[in-house]
Amino acid sequence: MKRPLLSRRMVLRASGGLAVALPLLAHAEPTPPPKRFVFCYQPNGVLVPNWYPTAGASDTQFTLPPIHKSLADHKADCLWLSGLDMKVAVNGAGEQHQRGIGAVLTGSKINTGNFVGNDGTKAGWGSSISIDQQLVSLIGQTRVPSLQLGINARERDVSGCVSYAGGDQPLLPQNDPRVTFRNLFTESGGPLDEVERIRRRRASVLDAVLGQITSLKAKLGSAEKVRLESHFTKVRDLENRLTALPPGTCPAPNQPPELNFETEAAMPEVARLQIELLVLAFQCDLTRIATFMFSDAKNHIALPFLNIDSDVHNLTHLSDPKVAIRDTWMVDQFASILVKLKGSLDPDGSTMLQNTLMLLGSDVSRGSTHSHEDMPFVAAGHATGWQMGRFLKYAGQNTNDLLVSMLRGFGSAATTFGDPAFCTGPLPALT
Amino acid sequence: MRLLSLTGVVLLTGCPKTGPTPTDDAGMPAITECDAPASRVPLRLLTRAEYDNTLHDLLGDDSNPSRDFPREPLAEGWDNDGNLNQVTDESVARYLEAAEVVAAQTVSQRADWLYRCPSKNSACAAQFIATIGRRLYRRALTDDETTALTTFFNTTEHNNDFDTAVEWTLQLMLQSPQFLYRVEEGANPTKSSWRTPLDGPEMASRLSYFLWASAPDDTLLDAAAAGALADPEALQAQATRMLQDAKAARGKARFFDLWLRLSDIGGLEKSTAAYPAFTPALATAWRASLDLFIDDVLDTEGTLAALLTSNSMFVNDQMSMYGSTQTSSTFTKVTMPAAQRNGLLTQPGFLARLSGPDQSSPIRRGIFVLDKLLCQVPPPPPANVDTTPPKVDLGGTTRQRFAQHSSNGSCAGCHALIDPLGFGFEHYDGLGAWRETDNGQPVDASGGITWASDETLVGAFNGVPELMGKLSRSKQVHDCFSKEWLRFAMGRGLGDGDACSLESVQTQFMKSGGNFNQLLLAIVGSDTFRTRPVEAP
Repeated sequence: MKRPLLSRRMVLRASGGLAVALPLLAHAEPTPPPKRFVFCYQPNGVLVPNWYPTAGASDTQFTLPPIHKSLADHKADCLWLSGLDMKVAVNGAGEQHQRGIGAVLTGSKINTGNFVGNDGTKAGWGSSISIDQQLVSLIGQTRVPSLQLGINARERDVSGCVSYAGGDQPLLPQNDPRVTFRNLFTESGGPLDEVERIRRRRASVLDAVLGQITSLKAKLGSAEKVRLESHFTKVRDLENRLTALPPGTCPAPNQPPELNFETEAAMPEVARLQIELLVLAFQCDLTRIATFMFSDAKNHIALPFLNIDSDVHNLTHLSDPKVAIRDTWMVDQFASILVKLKGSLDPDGSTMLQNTLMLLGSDVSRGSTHSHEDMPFVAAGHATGWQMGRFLKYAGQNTNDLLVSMLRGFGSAATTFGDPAFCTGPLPALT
Repeated sequence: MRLLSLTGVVLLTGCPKTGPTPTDDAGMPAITECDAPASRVPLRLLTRAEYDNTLHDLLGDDSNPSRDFPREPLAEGWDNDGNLNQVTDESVARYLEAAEVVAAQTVSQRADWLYRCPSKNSACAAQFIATIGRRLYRRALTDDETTALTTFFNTTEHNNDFDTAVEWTLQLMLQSPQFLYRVEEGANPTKSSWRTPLDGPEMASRLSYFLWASAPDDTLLDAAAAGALADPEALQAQATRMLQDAKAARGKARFFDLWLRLSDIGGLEKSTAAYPAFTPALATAWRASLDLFIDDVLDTEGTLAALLTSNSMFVNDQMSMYGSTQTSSTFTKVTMPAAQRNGLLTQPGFLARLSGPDQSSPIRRGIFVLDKLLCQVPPPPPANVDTTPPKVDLGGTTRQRFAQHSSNGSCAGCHALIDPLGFGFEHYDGLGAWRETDNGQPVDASGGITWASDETLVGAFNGVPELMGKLSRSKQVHDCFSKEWLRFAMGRGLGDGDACSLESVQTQFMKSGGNFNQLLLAIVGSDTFRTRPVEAP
């Protein structure tokens, strides 16, 4: 069952930081390694009493609880944050999960709309660009500008989305590793002349599609024109993606096996495959930005592979001790990405973790009260120059302050992000 | 999906009609004309179901080509909302893949669906482009389109061969917006009205995607081209023809799938600690059984009252907990005791969906009746209220646990509407099996409707059969059902500008005795369906 996606040879090459990251290696002069960002979303908050480290004499001296045991060996790469409030999500359209997931990366209140929430409330999509998409323009001009991955994140509405290209422009996660694979590796790794032939055909057909769009657009009204212009852009972008890299640049590994990917039982295998593809995409520099949803905010699933056979969403409402088991699993997934990045080298010899910022966050802080106070965040990696290896306690600053700090860490001069009424500027004490 | 064969059909024993009685003037649906502003949907993207049905009907494709497409967002449960369904980077990549696979398979395996020519020459190419272009774009090609497609075909043929040119041109058509969207902009608006009639081909697509969940056939396109759909009576004649076609079952199935969220049922998972009898095969059987039940109602009486009261059930070897002695995986229609099973809301799969993983849910069942049958959505709970179902290990009956849970403070008001309805379902456990006792105590299935705009509904009832007797006669329930189906037909929320059409549709549905086909014809005849809004008169 655990058939590796990569051949043994490729894994060895990747872990040695050699042949896989070809686009960068092509230059003789060392270029600065790419910066990367990964956000992992865990639904419905955490089991708060078991979540936070126990503070010690200083912010570097603290004890990790068992939930974070898979990060214990990597303490120096991680930063535990407490005391940040997502005040922007406290009221507005929708229920608390909808407001929280819609705001966690956008920093804005969600729109009104027709999505029915867990309790019958109605809400729309997120109302502004999310931080990962903001980072695309800063660090992410690669063939696949960003990846949205999911593990059983099934809701096709605001409850199932953290990434937004803009207001009402959701980027929903892909739960099927096979399709993730196809988004990354658009043609098979066949002989080069065969790849060239496929590319020429696709370019020819898509050019003609663009012609059909233009021909139709000429006859339509303004609202329709806007839709077709967007469609035109997406087809043109697809065409560019298909030919962005010379054939054979990043040899496609084996396509993941077909599996029943939207089931509870398949979640560990889906996680494993999606993480493997994410790391491979980083190694090939196909993308630099990813959001990863460990299920969605409206889920009512059990986790049989953890021996949790009742609705975890309800368990979070009850602060059931089993939630700690789930939290541990989610942190394990986060840690598994961290470990893989730490074990991969960029062309300049630094580890990929040194050039990445990872963040783990949720839609509410705890399911029992659906509170947006004291939101649980763990950061990891060194791309933003933050001083890691600490447990920081803030005093009720906005989570938007964290978002703008991230932008600045990646080189932006921005002083605010999201709804400016809920952003007071970058957080102190990160660097 | 619905290929289950039926054996040993037990005939339905005479069960009294409980619905509204058809009136004499119910015949031909009235044509309504209501000039008022309405909201506008720019372009309607084909849904996955519509995409697959279209390629099945036009190219003979059975491969479920949309299976990797992104799922549609659900607007109040509906997958066809014109405002929400928009293309993304993900979807254009999937359109490309599907077009490549479908085109290759059609050319290699079903070329006679594409062209029938004695020789592969330019006349044959022209025939292919005109015929398949008209079917896929659902109207005659414009001169510009014909020129562009022909140029593309000729260049491709010159560089490759005739079959390759057919294949690539098909890929091109399948990725063009003329195929992917339903465009409604053809007729020039008369600036004297809030509404303008659709042109013939636009009307043909509205009809076919509403009644068949698929593209128009050649007969409908011919009628559209001849201007025949502008005449209300000819339009009704086409709709009647289409309802008699087997494809009409698909259009209705789309409505019921979404109205009842049937797609959730086959993958339901239950706690095996609470329900040791549960297996994934049971969930699969629930869905199949419910599909057969709905098809049966549609094929026989075809009324809302029959849907709400029929005591038929389709059972197989997975369903012994419902009293089935079937030893085969084939489904058999049986007649259940009317005191236990009465209509859709007593079907096992449906009850199981409106349950928790380890207990029944009076709340979810009560809300379904309020929301989907009475169109009286209870307001959401106040902010920061814990909406967790009570823990099963608290003991007592489900009713007792929920009664305690919902009795406090600010919650009591809405739960006074929801709970008495839901408690009426307490004879059915979380698998939808009949129970006389719950946790050792006798089941109390007394319930009530606390408030309804139809005052005849208000009052006490005991158990679902009595409740269904009330609901199946109610005008409020019929009006609510009409509203849901009209919303589905339009692919957008209904507004004030639709009120006159809605009222007319509701009146005709009631007059027809709650007949589904008459409802669909009434929708087709409504002003909202036959026109599109324009900016301003």
